[in-house]
Amino acid sequence: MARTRALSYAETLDSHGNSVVVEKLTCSHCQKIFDKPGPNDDVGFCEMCFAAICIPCAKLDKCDPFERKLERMEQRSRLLRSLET
Amino acid sequence: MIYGSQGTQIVAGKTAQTIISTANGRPRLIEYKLSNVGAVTVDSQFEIQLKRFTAAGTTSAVTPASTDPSDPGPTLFTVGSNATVEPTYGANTPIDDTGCNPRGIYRWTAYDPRSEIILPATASNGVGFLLVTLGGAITVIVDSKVLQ
Repeated sequence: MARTRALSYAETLDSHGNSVVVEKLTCSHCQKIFDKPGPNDDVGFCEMCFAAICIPCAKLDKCDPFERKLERMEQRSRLLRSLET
Repeated sequence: MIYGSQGTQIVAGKTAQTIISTANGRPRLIEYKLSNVGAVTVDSQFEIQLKRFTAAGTTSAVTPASTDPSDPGPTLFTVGSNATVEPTYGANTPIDDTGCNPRGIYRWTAYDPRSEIILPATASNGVGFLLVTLGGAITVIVDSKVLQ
């Protein structure tokens, strides 16, 4: 995971009111936001789209970027609209 | 152009804010902040899930404010607050699931375009902030920034 830098940050307060910042990643396949794993933690990485992915997406063992899913969602919607008219 | 908008909720199991796409393009969620107003009753966390939906439900319309006052109003999305009829959420896992102490805040910010949450260019689709557990909070406030 050395090649994956944090893509987003989450900030909250601890019990003393001090700011706590957590580095986050967004899954390239499903857009789930998850904590950036430590150097020895298990994490997914897609060699096809060269981006971090979450463990459930890694277990699927296929590259299906979220933009492609969006295109399918939009195509389905356009098809349904055309059938209605 | 970046737009800020707020949503509120006081009932667990109801959605605090919805960001609803139009068919004109893909807006992107780039930041959100969770907080509470009102005297905290119990020092236990409220929980918010960020989820995608395919039907928008019924909410109070909110007018997003552009960060640049010379920008026109948003054309790619609308915003709703305080759902009375819940959106139709997908069965998949939430995009984010966050617990937050009602005495504090939680802020998520995308610093890279690859981490921005993309909404489809499909009418009535979008993302919602579902208040799963109220905890010791009184009125949960969701403040989001959307890029179009």
